[in-house]
Amino acid sequence: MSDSFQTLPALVDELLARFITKDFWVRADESIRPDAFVPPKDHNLSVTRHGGMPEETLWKIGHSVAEMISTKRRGILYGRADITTSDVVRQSLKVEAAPLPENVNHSHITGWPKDKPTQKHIAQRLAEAAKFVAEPQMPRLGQGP
Amino acid sequence: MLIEMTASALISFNALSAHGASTEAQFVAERANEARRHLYESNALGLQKREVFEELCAVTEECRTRNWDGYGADPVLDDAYQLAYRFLEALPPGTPAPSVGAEPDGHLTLEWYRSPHHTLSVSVSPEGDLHYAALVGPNKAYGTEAFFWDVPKAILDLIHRLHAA
Repeated sequence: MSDSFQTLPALVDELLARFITKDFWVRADESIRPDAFVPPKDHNLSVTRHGGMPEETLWKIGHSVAEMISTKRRGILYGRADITTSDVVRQSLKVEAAPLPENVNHSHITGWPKDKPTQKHIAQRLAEAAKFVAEPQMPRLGQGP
Repeated sequence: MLIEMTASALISFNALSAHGASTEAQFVAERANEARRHLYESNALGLQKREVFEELCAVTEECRTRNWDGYGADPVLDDAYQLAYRFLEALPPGTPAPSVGAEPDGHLTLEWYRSPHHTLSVSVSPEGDLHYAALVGPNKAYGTEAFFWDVPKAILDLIHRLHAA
């Protein structure tokens, strides 16, 4: 992956993955809960631009996100919620490249309003547009042990 | 029928508890709350609710430490847990049970969901704010209510609208 790729603006219909590391972020009907798209306190919501990456590479990045989880239980990657950059722009938000050493496609969704209810409303709209893709090795949610 | 009548009577008593100041009023309010607890514990109304309390415990436990999502999320604090617990307790009997979640800023969430276009999410902050956002068909509603041990009317109305739609 070249350095120049990192600084390119996200394309209009480029796919963005928000990795799902909590089962309660996915409903039984496999729709995404808005909780997954509520920004953290710094208002930089992490996503990964697909950028033509092979699926395997994308899942590898997802697993590295899950491995960062600092709880007694091992982090689990349940899947990813895919949205497009146009879903983001429609909510008057932006996608900004924020490359990490382990993930050059890492980006932030920025431009969030300060008030929490509006953030929740936007998160609801993003979740509505999102498509859940289950991690290939993961038993389907609600059907596993 | 008896349960329905009792439940509605108890909801009225709960309203009294917020305003009654005399010893008699306090006594009545305490008995009413006790009866309410019994009602919730009965199989008729308590089963769903017990599951939600269990879910609340499990989600809180899972999100107690920083970075519980792998993206640097804030931990869910005890204050948020206790307020969410009290909020659930304050729901009138017969209210559909929500499902529990958490957000990266450390708020617990209670969600009533019928479809992607009929959904209500309430965030419980450790400061005692209830931030809500709802989609009810083509309509949307969002805002903040302070939690003073009674479920705010704006939120109850949305729950009812969602389930009547």
